[in-house]
Amino acid sequence: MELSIEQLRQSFEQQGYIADQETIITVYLALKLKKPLLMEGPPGVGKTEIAKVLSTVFDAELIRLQCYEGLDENKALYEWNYQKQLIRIQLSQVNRDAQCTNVEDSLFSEEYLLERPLLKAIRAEKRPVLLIDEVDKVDQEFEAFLFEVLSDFQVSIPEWGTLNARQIPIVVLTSNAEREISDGLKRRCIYLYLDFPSPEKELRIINAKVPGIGQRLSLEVARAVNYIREQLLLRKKPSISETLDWARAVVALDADRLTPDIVNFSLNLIFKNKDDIDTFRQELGTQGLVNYLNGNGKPGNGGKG
Amino acid sequence: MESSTPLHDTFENNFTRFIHILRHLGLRISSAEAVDAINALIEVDILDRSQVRTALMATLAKSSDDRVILDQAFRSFFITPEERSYRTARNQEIQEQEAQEIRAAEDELKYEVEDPEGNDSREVMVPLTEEEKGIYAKLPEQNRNKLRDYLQKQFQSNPVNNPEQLIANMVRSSLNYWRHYLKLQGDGPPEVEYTGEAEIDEVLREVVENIRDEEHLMYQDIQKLTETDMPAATVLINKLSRRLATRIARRYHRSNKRQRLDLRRTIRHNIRYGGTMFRLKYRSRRVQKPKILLICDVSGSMAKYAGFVLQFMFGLSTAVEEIESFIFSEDVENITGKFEQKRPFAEMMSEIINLSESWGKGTDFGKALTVISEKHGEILHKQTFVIVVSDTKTLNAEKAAYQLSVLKKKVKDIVWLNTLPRRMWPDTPSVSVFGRHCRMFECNTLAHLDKIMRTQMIK
Repeated sequence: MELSIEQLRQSFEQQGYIADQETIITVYLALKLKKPLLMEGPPGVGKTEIAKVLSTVFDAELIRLQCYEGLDENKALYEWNYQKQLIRIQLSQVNRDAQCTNVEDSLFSEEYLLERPLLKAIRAEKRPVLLIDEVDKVDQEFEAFLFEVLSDFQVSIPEWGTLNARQIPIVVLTSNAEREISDGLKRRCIYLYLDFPSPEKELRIINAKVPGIGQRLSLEVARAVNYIREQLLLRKKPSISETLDWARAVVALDADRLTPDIVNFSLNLIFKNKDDIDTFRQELGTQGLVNYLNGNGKPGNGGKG
Repeated sequence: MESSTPLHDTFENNFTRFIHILRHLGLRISSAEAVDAINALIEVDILDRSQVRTALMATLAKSSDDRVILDQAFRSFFITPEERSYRTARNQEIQEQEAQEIRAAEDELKYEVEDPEGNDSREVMVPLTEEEKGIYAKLPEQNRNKLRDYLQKQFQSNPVNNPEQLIANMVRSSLNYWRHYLKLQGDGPPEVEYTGEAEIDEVLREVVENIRDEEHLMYQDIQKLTETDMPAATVLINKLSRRLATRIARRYHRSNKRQRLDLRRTIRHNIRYGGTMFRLKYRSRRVQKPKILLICDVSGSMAKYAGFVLQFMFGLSTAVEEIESFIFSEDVENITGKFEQKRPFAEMMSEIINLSESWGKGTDFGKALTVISEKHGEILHKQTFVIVVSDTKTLNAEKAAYQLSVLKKKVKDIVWLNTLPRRMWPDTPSVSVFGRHCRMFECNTLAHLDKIMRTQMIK
């Protein structure tokens, strides 16, 4: 299915993913040039979500490879079902009939193959979306292997020979930039840096994702989160997913606007460690935040919440 | 048939020049990526500036730093002819001004000397290279006067044949110092290689200036950060040191593929299957969490970095539990306990400075290492990761280097964060002396610290 830039933007919006023009064009280019899309950015800005949206838009299966320390080819590509093979050998010893003479050949047949995400994506009949999540967590050796697979979309299984991809999958790689990814891998990819959204974009995201939130409340939540990100020196800035959680919580509390009490009850949804909560209370405070939202000049210091 | 479009304005020419500029700004762009960029440009509306920018960003920039550079380069390179001619004119003015300064310098460096054999006097000019004249021209007025007075005296009191060369050597050694000093003042990262082609260099210069203005916190020498920069810098240092701690503490598990079969456990486990080796057990390597030994130089030469050093120590100490921190100058002090009390940074910092006797003294790194290995030998083992923060300027560098080599055999790894700018390393013998026994990284801006973290610092 071929989509224009505008159609892609509309499809994303239909799926509730509000993206700016740069994101849409970059995704469009990755699709057009048939290259993997490498996304970097702070956690919780919607990197993984893009892969999910793409799978819905193209009605494609989403195959996910979650990376972690120690991930190796066995867990990413394929494994032989060792236990099943053993049983087969044992059975063939017990029933020495004609059917079991070709044990050696059949032991490495499809039946004994455990497909892992990469092989699954390569052998898929219909073009899938392959999400390789948090690629910065794997070690370099695996990265080199990945780079090989993504270059040619072919793998070799010694017992079978080389397998070529039936369809070049839509590949999405995400990284939290904990570690620099090798040049080789980067060179193969189209690069997108996703940062925290502008208040206007976040407002649209809230409206799209949190049903039942009033216009005023969604505007206040968007402004408040943006102000917190910009003004406070936090260990972890609230992500979009935390903004949405907060918005949902406020709606669940039947509030139609942010008040010091409401903010106080729901602080734990935006701040995920004690230092940040302390920083918020000391430098801004719930009253300070509400003052800012109400446009009462600069927020005063030390509303103790 | 000849095309009426001059070569200069063709798309291909502009594109290759832009790639050329990016490469000179430090972006590594392969031909394959350049081809990708062209393919991307074919797919977007070439008349839409933002689409063109996005296409280039997506194919040529491969990190957030690259994006900042590419964005600036794009803004400086793709400009209207009017803007371009304005910039050229401005640059010409600057160049003319520099040429004038150099001519003025030449005049200032001319002297009347008496011929030793006769009574005639002749005019002599100190034979300096253009670069040296440039450095002289950039000196503050009072330093120029001082140098001139000194030269005047030398010429007058030395009625020898050919005094120019003799004096040029003296001036050169004095200017050498200034060369380093001025470089420290002016040129910071991002490093840029100028091409010699006026039009391209104009763009390069503009990009570097803009980046330095916008990202000054990251590229500023840490010792020059002002009071107003400090809160933001503190958060950055804390973040970076915490990331460093995570990197060190990360234990890479070995996958089953590389491990050896544990026969004992396998047999025991498989008895339940009648002895068939149904489930294989592998020998797993016990990976212990590494301990960090932080050794920071707080001697006189490092005084300007003290704030950074302490902030860095504080950041690391709050992020990892297994850390031993030492500060040293002539003596060494263990300040680990001070960080464990979880007090505010400012309070702790003033206590450390007030109670410690190490601040601002001379440096004896060798002694510090000896004391650490004698008194705190229990923390030196194969799981210990050593981080040294120092400018390598110490007494008895050779002896200290020997101590460092001994330490290296005991611990997992030694990483040295050197606050001395890399361009001064070749002239500082202690750098190569210590560099043999550890992995040394330049670290005097936050950008450096960030880069160290991203590259393969931790093996």
